[in-house]
Amino acid sequence: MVLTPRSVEEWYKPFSKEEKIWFILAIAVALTLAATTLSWHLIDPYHQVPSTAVEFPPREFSQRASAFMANYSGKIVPEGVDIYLAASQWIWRPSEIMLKAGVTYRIWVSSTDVLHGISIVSEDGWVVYNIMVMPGMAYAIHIRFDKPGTYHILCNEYCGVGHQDMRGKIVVVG
Amino acid sequence: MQAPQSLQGFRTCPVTGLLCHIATLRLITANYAMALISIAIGGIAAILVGLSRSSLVLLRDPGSYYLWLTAHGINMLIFWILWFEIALLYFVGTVLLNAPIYSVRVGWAAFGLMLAGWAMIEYTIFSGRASVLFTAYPPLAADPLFYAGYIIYVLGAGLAVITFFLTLYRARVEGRYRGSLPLVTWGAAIAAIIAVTVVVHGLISLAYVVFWLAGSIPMNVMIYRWFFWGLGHDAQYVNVTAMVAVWYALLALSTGLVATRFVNERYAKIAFAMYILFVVPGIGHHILVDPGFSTPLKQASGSVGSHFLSIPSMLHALALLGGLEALLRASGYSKGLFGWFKAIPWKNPGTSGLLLSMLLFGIGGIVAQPQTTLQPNLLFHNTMWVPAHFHLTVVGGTTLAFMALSYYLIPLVTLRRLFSVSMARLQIYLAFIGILTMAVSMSVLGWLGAPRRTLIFPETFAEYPYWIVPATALGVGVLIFIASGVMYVLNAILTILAGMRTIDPKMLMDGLMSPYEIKDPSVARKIGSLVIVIIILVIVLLSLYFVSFIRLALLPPIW
Repeated sequence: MVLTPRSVEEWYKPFSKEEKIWFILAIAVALTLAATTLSWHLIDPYHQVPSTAVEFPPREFSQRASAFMANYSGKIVPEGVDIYLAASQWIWRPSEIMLKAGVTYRIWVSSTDVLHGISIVSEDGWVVYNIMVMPGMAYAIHIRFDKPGTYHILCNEYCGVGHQDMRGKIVVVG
Repeated sequence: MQAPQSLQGFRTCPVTGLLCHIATLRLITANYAMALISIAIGGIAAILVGLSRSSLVLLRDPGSYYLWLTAHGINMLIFWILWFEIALLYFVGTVLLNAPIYSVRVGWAAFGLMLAGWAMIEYTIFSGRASVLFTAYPPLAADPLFYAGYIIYVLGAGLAVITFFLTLYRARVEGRYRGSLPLVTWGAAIAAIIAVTVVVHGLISLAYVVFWLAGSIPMNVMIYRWFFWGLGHDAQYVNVTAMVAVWYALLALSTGLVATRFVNERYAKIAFAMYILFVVPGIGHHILVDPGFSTPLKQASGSVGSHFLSIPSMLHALALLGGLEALLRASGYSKGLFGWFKAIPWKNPGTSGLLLSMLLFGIGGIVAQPQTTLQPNLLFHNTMWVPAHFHLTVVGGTTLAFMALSYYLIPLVTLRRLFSVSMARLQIYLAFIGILTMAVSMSVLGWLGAPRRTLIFPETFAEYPYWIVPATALGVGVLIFIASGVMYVLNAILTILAGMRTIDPKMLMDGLMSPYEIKDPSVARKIGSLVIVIIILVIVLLSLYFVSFIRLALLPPIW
């Protein structure tokens, strides 16, 4: 019985046919899920978690972001130029990036203080992309927008009382 | 009540005939009372936080929003759950085995530690010095008192778990019971083993923060995140395992104990044991999009470990539903594939609570599959999709199951009839509709990129007009669930204060037990349940999984 003790002979029963089928099916479902994620890069190498993450001292990263802003704020970032996006309580630096459609860019993103998260959301809510942003580590995101438009940048990891104000923009021009 | 004193310090339950150790019962009541106080605080916080996340926006001041969000997370996920589970452990380790607790003193010491830790944490949160949310990720730091309280609380919980193991040991050597442990106790013991991993990981991560605050070591956020999720994630599997044990208890109680004959206990025990196997490797699904961890580690630990963790829950689904089906078929409802389905006692709050809790938990598990997978996690990480998942599992699954069980335990412990069975019946369905509405709205918000744990102002909504409809629906779901919560608390309190006293088992369980007469055990098959679990847990699950992969493939290239 479920609620009282009983002897091994009473509970050690063979599986019924349905139970056997389900045992195998449940394992098969888990294996299907695992096999899909393990092999998906063979089918779609362009939607993966960035594989490049390097240690980057926060102060140095902050300087790179400032230098990038001094050179390219209000301008379309030329092809081949690395973008530095620094997250700090509670701003993105730069808060607006202008990109050209059809060009592949490399965006370095890191934090200069606490944990943050970057979320890129298109104006219709269809494009959604999220990764973590950490102090001391920089991710290199390769990205190519084919359609012109505006994309919101949000912080999606709680970073203190001004968290909801951390918003920026990527403007893609044709 | 005239209970015969068969042993010093015990009373015999007139309904079940079980021996109850009175000093242990007091300890159980104290732990349960603290669980109720915590869920009340967490519930008030839920109203404020839930309505603020809807388009209604209740709290406009970010400081108070994050304060209440911290209070909501910690009260619900740590205090309510752990205290309820310790009460449950003491109950299944003593009452079901006719045994006393290993040591009443140690039990109270554990309770005292938890109470002290709880007070320190609540104090720092409500004085505004610990608005760091449930996860408390450094380098964002709370008042040191907060971490000290957390450590003391976790130590207390650890002591309670050790007491439970020693209680089982003592019951065995003293020969209090014969044969194997009851299935419910067995499941709870698995939960307790997982709780040990929670305590160890919790102490490591919290001690790490304390040493860092003291200035003796540098902070590596990634190390903290790994060990914190050893606390945060494994604690939810203490829940899951305890909830499944409660499901078996509900199936037994709501059918007047006949269904248990048709549950394959060996199947259930194997499934319980599998939780231990996969729970620690599963920690990694929290770090899928973190820099600094290698892809093979993320794949092995996060996605693969977590997918395998769903196997035991899938097995339990058939064990429980199949047990009910076999019972109904054997008692004469054996027509066709689903003839038994119409005969399910939907008016019985125990049965409806069990089945709706299983359904919500199942949907929660399905929703979890894409987000626990490396690539689709890019779509869902830290969006509202995540709280949609865990509100389905923790609120829809665990809390609903615990609520349904208390409709049986309160009458059995107080020997008073439930104040209103029809209110209990309605409450279960209202809770189901409320949670489902909330969860669907949250998943739609998550699908559309709305971040979790972020205060959204009306001005912000103007920039994201497609969030307004699901956010409003979220508010409606919150209100429906609050209504059901109020009905639950009212019913419990009115039963304790004004329920009709009786020791007649039939009167006591009137409307709560649907007894069956077994006519022909040979037709007891589980084929209809197999079809249902295949439709929900294979077809729907795989569809959502592949749809999320396809959606990701259609986005602009990002790698």
